[in-house]
Amino acid sequence: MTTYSNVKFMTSAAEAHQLAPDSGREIAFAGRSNSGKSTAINVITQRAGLARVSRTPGRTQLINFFELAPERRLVDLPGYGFAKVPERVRLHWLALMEHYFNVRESLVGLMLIVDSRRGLGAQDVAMLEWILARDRFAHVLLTKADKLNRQDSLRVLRETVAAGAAWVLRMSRCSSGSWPEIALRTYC
Amino acid sequence: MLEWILARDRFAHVLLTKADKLNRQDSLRVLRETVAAGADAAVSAQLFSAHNKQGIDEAREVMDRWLESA
Repeated sequence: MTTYSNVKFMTSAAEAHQLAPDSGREIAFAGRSNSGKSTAINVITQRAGLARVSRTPGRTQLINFFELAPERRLVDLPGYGFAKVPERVRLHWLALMEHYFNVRESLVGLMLIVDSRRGLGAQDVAMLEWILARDRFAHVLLTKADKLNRQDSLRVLRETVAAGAAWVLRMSRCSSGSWPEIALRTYC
Repeated sequence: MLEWILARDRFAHVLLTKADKLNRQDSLRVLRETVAAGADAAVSAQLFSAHNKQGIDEAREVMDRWLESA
C-alpha cells in the first residue's frame, strides 16, 4: 500500500516541455474550479496545504507534480470552468491538457473531482474522453456528499456510474464498429 | 467545448428514445450489452466528503490498485 503522507512537491509545468520525466506511474487529478479538488488531494495525502486552493481566474495555470514514492506520482492538473478566464488562458489550458493526455506514458488513471450537487459537466466529460481514448482508468470522486441527503447522493452516484459506463460503451463500439446500424448512425 | 456539450446532449437524447426505435428483443439486447460494458467499465465513481471523512479510504484503495497493478 502506498503511504500517501510521504508525498512531496516535485515540479510545476506551465508549458508542455516542463513536464516531469515520463517514467514509472502517475495518477492525475482533474476538476472544475471549486469542485473540491485541492481539498480532496489534501485529505487523501493527509497533508493540509499541499495543493493550494485557488479561486483566482486568469492566473498562470500549472500542472503540479508530487512524488508519492520513487517512480510514483500524483499530478494536480489545472482547474477549469472559471467564468472569466481570458480566451488566451483558456486556449493555453486546452493545448496543455491535450498534450498531457496524448503523450503521457506513465499516466495510469484519472481521478475526476466533481461536485456531487452539480454532476458531470461538459469539460468533465472531455476529461473522461481523453483518458478513455488512452485506454486508462477513470474514477469519479463525487465531492461534498455531506451536502446532499442520502437519497439524492445515491441517485447522483447511480447516474454517474451509468454515464461512465455509457461513455465506455460508446467509445469502444465506435472504434470496433460492432454497433447495430441504428446506434452507429446516432452515436458515431 | 461546444462539441462536447452537443455530443453529451445528443447522447442523453438517445438514451431516452432508444425504447421507441428498437423492438423489444433489440432493446433488451442493447440493455444487456450496456450492463455488460458497465461490469468492467474503465469508469468508476464514489461519494466523497472531506467534511465527514467519507470515502477517503475507498479513494486510496483505487489509487493503490492503479499504482501497483502489474
